[in-house]
Amino acid sequence: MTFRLDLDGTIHTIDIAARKPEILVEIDGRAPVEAGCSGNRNDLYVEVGPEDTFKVATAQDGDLTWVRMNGRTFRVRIEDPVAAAQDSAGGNDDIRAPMPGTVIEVLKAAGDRVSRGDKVMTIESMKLQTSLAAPRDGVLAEVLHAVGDTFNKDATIARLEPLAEDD
Amino acid sequence: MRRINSTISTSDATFRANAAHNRGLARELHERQETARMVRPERDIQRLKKQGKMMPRERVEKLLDPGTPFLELSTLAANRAYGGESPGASIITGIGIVSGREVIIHADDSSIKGGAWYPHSVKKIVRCLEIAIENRLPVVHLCDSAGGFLPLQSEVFPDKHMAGRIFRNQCQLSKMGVKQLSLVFGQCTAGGAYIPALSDYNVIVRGTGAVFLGGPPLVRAATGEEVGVEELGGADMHTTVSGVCDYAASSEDEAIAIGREIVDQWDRPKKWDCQRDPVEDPYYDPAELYGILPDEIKKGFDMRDVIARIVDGSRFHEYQPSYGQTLICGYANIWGWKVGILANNGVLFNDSALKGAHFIELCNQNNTPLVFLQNITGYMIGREYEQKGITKDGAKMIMAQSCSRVPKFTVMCHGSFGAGNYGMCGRAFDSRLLFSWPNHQIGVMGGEQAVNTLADVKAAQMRRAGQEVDADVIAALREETGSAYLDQLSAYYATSELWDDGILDPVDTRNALGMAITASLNAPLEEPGYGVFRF
Repeated sequence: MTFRLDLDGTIHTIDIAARKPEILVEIDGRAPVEAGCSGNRNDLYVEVGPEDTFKVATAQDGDLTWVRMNGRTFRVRIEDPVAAAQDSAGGNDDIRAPMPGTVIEVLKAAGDRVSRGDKVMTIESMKLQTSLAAPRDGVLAEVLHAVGDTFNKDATIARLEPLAEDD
Repeated sequence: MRRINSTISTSDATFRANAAHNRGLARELHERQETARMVRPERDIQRLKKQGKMMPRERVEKLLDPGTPFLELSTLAANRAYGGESPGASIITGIGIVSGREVIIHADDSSIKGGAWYPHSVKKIVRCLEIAIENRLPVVHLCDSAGGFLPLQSEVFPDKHMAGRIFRNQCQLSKMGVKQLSLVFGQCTAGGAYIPALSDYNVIVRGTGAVFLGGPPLVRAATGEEVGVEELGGADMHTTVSGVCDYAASSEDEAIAIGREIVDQWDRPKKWDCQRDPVEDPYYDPAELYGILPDEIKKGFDMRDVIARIVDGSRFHEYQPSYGQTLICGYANIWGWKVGILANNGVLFNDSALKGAHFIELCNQNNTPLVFLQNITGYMIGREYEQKGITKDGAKMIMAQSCSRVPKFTVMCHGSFGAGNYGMCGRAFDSRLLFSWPNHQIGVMGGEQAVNTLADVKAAQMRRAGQEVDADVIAALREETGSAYLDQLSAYYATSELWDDGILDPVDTRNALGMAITASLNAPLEEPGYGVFRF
């Protein structure tokens, strides 16, 4: 099993090569080392290799774990492979209508910078008002409908500037 | 499982306006509940005191294990009926823990007109026993009722789901091996006498408790026999002569203590093996629900933001995230229990209905209980959608949902209009428990649409009769029918009529569902099977 671990902003690839009899961990392709953990939550020790044992303290903060060890504090996060793939997939330039309806309110204009989740427009369909939000951070390239316009399901309502290759 | 990335900004003006509005609704709910539970005329309080009786809520409190949660149901039943004379429909019901066992409690509220049963009281007891049957929950009855409220006997006695149903349900429970205990604090007369008689165990309090088919006045009128209460149906007679009752107690405290000891003898039902993971609090603060829910019925919101504030760790595995997007489907955990969630994010289209039906089948095969979060204005209408068969796709969703064998739970998060209510497991579809939020509205159509429809019908009538359409008459009609119609759409009207099992403060939803799911697992899963899906 391989996963990617973000340690103070640097990504490391961790491969658990074996679990029995000892846990063998391969870090960034280097020679595998034995690793272990003992004690309990309040009195925790991490063993690396045959010699080194460290007393550690950890605190969970959402997806982040703060680890205090050897007089230093580290910020550790295990990368979610699906989220990482979705983030790098780009796409998502178009904001589309989830249902046919009418524009009630336009909240952003072409050229505006938006963050993921920012409301761009309010539409009404079947007596229900819905906010259409930016699918990612970016700049609005165009807003294709004005207040009072009607549109069909899946119509493109607004469009974000495509992400540059190096973004 | 991945955490939902909820991008709500709590400093946003809309969020703050919504929060102020919805906190107000929650405050009003708590005030109304407190009044329904506690406020009684001094005269009734004194009468109970003089009889040496406790207040009914005190009995419930003493019966329950200290420090354990009590999920009270339908606290505001009958709040719109009888001019408010029967708070809580004069009945207390709820799921709680007695001697370490999950039980459902039915307690007559004798602090209201001697605990007389109104039509809504009967409906509430029948529902309580239905919950007991569906979830195999043992029942503790705390009996202290003057009997059926005579002026309304036609709405209490004769029909299928009226008083007789209480005793029918008691028999069904017994047949299933679900235990019942009655504590007789007051007089159980006529039909009411069958509650202790049909219980596996009962305890009766000396002096105040009595059980008989006809009380002394009725006996005198019928046969001329002069007989006192104790001799006719008192504790000592029934526990030493007739065998109608099992244990006599010298006080209410003693009766409750004996009752707790009896429950302590009961075996513990085995729950079926629902998948469970370690419990994790939601990552996002449930109190943020106040700012997410809108301040108007026609304003929408993203149900993912709601799910994120109910489920363990705010984690959600969304199924078919890019298909049928107006219905969110996916797996999550509540109190550790694996559940499948269906939540509305707009009107139901063909694809959303098909996705919903498919997901329901997946959950049934995976033994995963279903949670429906309703905010629905209906299935999409119009030529394009009818030609695509929206009706048969909606029918598939209703078929899958209705024939589900896994426990179902429904929360009315906002609107529930039209046929969408059916597909999303409305009251008719046997949710183990169904809760509403204070902002909830329910009806065959929304208020604005209903008033317009009624006005159009009236105008057409006037034209047919050869009259001029009188704008004033139409305006008056809109005004009059509008406010009456709107009141009937409200969560308070719905809960008054027992169309739900109670209104929840949104922040309590997670715990209410947690208790409900835990209780539901006592009932074994039935064999799977569906009717015919129209393809």
